[in-house]
Amino acid sequence: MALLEVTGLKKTYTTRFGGAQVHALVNVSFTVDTGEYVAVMGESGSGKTTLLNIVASLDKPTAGIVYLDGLNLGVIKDRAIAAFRRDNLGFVFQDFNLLDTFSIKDNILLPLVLANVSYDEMESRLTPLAHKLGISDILAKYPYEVSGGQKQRTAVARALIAKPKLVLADEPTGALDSKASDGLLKLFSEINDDGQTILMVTHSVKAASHAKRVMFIKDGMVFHQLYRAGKTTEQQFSAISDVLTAIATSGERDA
Amino acid sequence: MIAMSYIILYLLTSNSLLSMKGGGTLKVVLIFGAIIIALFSVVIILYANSFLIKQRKRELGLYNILGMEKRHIAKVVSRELLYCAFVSIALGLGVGILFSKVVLLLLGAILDFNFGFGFEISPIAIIITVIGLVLTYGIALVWDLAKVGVSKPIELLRGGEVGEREPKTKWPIAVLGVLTLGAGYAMALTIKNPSAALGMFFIAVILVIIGTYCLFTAGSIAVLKLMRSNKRYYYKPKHFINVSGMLYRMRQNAVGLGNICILSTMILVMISSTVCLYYGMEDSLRNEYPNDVELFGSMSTQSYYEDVKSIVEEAIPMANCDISDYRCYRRLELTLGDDNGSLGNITEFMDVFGNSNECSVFIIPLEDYCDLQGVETSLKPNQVLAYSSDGSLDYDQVSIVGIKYDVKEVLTELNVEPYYNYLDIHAYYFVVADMDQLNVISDALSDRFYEYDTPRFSFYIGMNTDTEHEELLFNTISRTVTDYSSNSDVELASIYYRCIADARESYLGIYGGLFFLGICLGLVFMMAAVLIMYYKQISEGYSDRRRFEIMQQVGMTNSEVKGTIRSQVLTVFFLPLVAAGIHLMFAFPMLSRMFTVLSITNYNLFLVCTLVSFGVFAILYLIVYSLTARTYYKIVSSD
Repeated sequence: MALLEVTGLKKTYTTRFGGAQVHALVNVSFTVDTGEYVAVMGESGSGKTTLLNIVASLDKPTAGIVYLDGLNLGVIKDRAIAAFRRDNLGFVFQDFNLLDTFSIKDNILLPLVLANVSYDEMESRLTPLAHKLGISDILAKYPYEVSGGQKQRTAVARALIAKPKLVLADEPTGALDSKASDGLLKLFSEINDDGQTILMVTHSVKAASHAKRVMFIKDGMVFHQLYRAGKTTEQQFSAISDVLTAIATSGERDA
Repeated sequence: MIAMSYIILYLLTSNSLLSMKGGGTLKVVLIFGAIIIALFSVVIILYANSFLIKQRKRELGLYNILGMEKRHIAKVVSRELLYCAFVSIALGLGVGILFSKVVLLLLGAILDFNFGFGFEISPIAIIITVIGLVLTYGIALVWDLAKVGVSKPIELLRGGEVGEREPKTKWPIAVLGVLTLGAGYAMALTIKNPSAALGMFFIAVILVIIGTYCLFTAGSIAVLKLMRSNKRYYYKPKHFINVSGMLYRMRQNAVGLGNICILSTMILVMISSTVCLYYGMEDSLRNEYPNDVELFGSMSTQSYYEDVKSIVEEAIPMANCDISDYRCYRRLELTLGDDNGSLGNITEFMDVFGNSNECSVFIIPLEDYCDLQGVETSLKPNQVLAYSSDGSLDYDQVSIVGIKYDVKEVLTELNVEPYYNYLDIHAYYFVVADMDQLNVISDALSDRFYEYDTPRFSFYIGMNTDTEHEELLFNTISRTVTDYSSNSDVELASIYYRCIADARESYLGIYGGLFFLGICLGLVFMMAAVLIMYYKQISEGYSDRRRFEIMQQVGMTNSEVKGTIRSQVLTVFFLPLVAAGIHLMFAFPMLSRMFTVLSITNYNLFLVCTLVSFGVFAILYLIVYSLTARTYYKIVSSD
């Protein structure tokens, strides 16, 4: 069953001083099933972050509908949207977006606190999760005291603690060194193996090669899809590279 | 900044104008005020400058990276500052000159003096102001250039994003804060003696200042950390964000908030007390001068009193004005120790601590009592009529320097001039049978206590009239009395007369000047406090923007964000105000006691002055708050 269904998505920005219209998304339709691990790839400006923002209900589409678990995001009232996001979506950002006024623990608990969960419940969810992510010993520290990889794992913990239906990751490895990236991608795969649906936006071939499916976006449209289907990470890596080369040399791009 | 400069200017202008027209005490007061304002505006300009340069660090860093040499950046910065200085000086002078007349007229209204309608520009004031401002901007420039000079481009780029460390709880400081604040408050509350209050006030003020800073810096963090350690309280949406946000804010702002708190308290104390002094002036005058025109004479001979009395009574109609509260009586004035109706030499009644129950005793002959009250009564030589202004005297028998008298009656009313003493000394009045009894007491005193000179009897003549006629009446009386004295053998020095009108002028000079200064300084300080506040909030808005963005991403609603912002800004804003209010509350008893030294005993007046100043201050504060909150929210919510 499709957890996420996107049909005919279109997003047009008007530049501030009127005039030129920018078509970030032209016509995007795809579905993500429960338990899938999908990477969205594309060059800068291809519209992938816009897509993620719309799915995350941080932005509204010009046209088209996004269904999450059968629910039309467009009809949720503004007031309820924050709560909806809190309960159904988890976020992992490129620059972690941790709050420097909170300790690691409090950063992780933030969504639960906002959802008014009891403290005992928070504790019971936090302990196994922190253990699994290997951040149990830094819980009392503050974001500026830990490494980038630890920060990103904190962000993952924060995304997972509310038990969301869908985890959205925006360039999660963008600000990490290669070792920390490897760790994080391994972690994502593990989480996915546990049944967590993940939608990741990236332009790192390596990150995408870990996903079960790669979706290529170009000029606001889904250009191509690639299923891993039993291939090794290395094989997938070269397959993705081929597609990217094809995109870059296709000549259809406006200069 | 511009506003600041014109305030200094107009003070200086009016100052120079005043020196032309004369007004000694006022001039001193104003010069003092001008110096304070000048120093203060220097501080404010420098503060605003450092704030602005901090905000622009990133921009300057970018310039540097894009290939501008430090030399060029320095040029840019100095040229900007030059324009800024030029504009603010020009504007400040313009506004200052325009408003100088208004302020002068205002001062005239306060001082009851007509300055006329001419318009003057004071070149000296302009020159002084310009020099002062140029120097200030010079310092600011040097500061900025030094900042640019030592900085590295990367640091400039990163600007404000230096890692935030969690504040440590400093329990000793928090405890010290509680102790010093408590001690200061306790002093303010317990000191009853006004003259002691004057000395202790500064100690109390210093204690409270220390306490305020300690509590704002360490105490607030300690409290917040305690709140945080209570898990069930802390992990609620509202508390969670507020407590951690405040913790972070307090680390940055505690000293600033302390400053504002102290500044606000100073403003409030200053304004309320100067307002009170001004409006309480008439009270104060009344306490010092119970009657508009007064004559004190020492009575060398019986006939001298009779003569002066008749001369004065003849002179009064010549002044051709209405007279009220005319009183004329002889008296023997003594300062004695009081031990339950036994009145004697103070030293005899001293306790082991050297304290004695001191009282002022007036002995009045029956004849004058009858005149004063317009009654007929009689007394035996061993009888007295007793009276005390506060009704504290109710003995059946009294002993005055060893002579025993029966109290025939305790009077409820005696038409003497009101007695005032800030030291809370009781005044007792005894009416004795005749002048012989006065002599008996006087002799007894000089026999028993060698340190007493033979007390001379004095007489008092006092009367009131309406304000316009005070001086006329006074001049008429003093002229006739002087004429009489020069024609008689009695030396003139033995008679002393005074008029409330003379005192009123000098009082008006001091109190009016202080009132004016209090309001001016109050306004300047208030502006400073408000500016600091505003800049603080705005700069915080920028750093908070990102935080609120993140919170919205993880599922905080817009209204929740608004609510948190409101409550945090509210706390930051009103913490100092509330603390200032509490300080003021505790300072109030001490201040009102100090006012009694200045002969202002109208407690209610001071209360009203204080409340009104606090109210006005709070309203202004509220306006600034709402402006700031709006700007802050705009900054935070803009994408």
